[in-house]
Amino acid sequence: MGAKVALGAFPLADRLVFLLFIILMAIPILRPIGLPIPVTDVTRKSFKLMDSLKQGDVLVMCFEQDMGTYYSGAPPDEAGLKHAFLLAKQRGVKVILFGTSTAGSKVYIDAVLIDTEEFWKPLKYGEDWVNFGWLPGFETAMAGFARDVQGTCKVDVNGKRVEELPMMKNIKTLNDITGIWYSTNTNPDMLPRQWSPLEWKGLKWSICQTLFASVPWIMPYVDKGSITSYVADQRGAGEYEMLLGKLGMGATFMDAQSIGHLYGIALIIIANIYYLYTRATKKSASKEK
Amino acid sequence: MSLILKRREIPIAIFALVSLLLLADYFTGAWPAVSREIIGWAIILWMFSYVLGVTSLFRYHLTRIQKHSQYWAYSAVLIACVFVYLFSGLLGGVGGISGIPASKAFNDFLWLNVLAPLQTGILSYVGFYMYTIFFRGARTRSWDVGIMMVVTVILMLNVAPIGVAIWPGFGPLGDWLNGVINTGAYRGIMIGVGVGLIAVWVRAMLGYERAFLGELSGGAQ
Repeated sequence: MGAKVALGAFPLADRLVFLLFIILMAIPILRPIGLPIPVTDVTRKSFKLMDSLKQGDVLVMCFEQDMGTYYSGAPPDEAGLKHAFLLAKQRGVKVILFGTSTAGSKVYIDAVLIDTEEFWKPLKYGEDWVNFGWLPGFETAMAGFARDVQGTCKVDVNGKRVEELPMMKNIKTLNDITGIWYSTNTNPDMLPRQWSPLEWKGLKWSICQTLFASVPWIMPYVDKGSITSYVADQRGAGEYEMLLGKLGMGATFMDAQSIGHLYGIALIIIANIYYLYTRATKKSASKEK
Repeated sequence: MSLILKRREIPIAIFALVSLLLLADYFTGAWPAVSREIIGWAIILWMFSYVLGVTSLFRYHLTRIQKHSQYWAYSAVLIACVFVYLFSGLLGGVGGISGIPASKAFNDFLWLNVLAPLQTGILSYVGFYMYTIFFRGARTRSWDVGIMMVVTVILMLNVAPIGVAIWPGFGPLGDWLNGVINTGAYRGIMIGVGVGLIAVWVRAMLGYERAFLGELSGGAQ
């Protein structure tokens, strides 16, 4: 029916590049090499902020993600969620989960909760943590949550009314929240616009979990304190897992990322050697003429 | 009466009033209850945008099926998928009303094991193109392209742990490029976007920007 696109449509060299790429990616995932992961100051800062939570402090973890970048976004979220649940168990920190995108609530929360079951299983739902699922409205929902938590989160993901959830009793506005973990792969601007610790005096800090490519985007906010810190991509996840002492997806993908990037650099070098060689050959040929 | 309701001044006035109220509350905190109420309405309106989206999707694809346009079968598959996903979700239970557990499990399966891997797979395809670009497009034809190549290589080695293992300097060097050069450029972009947004807002309040009324924007008339 449609136009057929076969692998044969690509030149042989491209097919070899693809094949080698697949092989090089598969090897470290199937058999991890265990390259050391140096921890950057910013991930250490994020970890320390999370680790500073005390009994009765409230942590919000909001997921505004999309499914395409699942393997970039989910590893840091998984590490952060593990940490949050450990803090809930050990120190009595209260954790609120929700997503402002459908994928954020359905894939990120649900899939990551499956992977972190051993961490939340010992906790009491409604007293230690709650999941409000998807809050429609993107930035509007965030603005609503900041000004009226109970009015925006009327029912949880199980259909329980907010009044029936004991831990939500005294949480009225963003000033009753201690810290925020905001996970996004689209537009990080919404975090400092709606949930800035500079505006909400009760809010002590916010961490933005985002793609590595978005780091320059959030840096102006980090410089001014509208976002306190950030965790970037798989690399940030690997570092966070090292600090937490619970290795997961992030550490697994780090070896693959190292090899993938080296492969990319090798291709750039080969392509340029070939280009310079052909240019030199053409020049000498034209001189001879 | 209907002529009065059709006047474009009414929605412009509503827009101006609402945005000014929210803005004033943001800076002064004078009307928190009013701004809460307005935001609540906005969330409800947002939900209606989904109804609008689904309606246009159906209208477009049902017409294609009816006319047997090229690739109309894909439209039929899409409509079928919408119904399967919608009904499995509704039968699985909504808003605390418990439904059929098998239907909920099937709906979750579709999302987590079909849709999510498909979308991730589609994006992963970009990876293959990137490697083709490295191989075919990365030609240092001029000095500026050369600088871009060097920066690309430094940042690639900065992100991957192996870079720092090769030479520890890739860490601070990459961080400097990202934190100073890139951030500086982004700061400029953000200021530009901010100023542009204020300009659009003022234009909308004055009635020059009418895209939100379903009209093409134009200058002062």
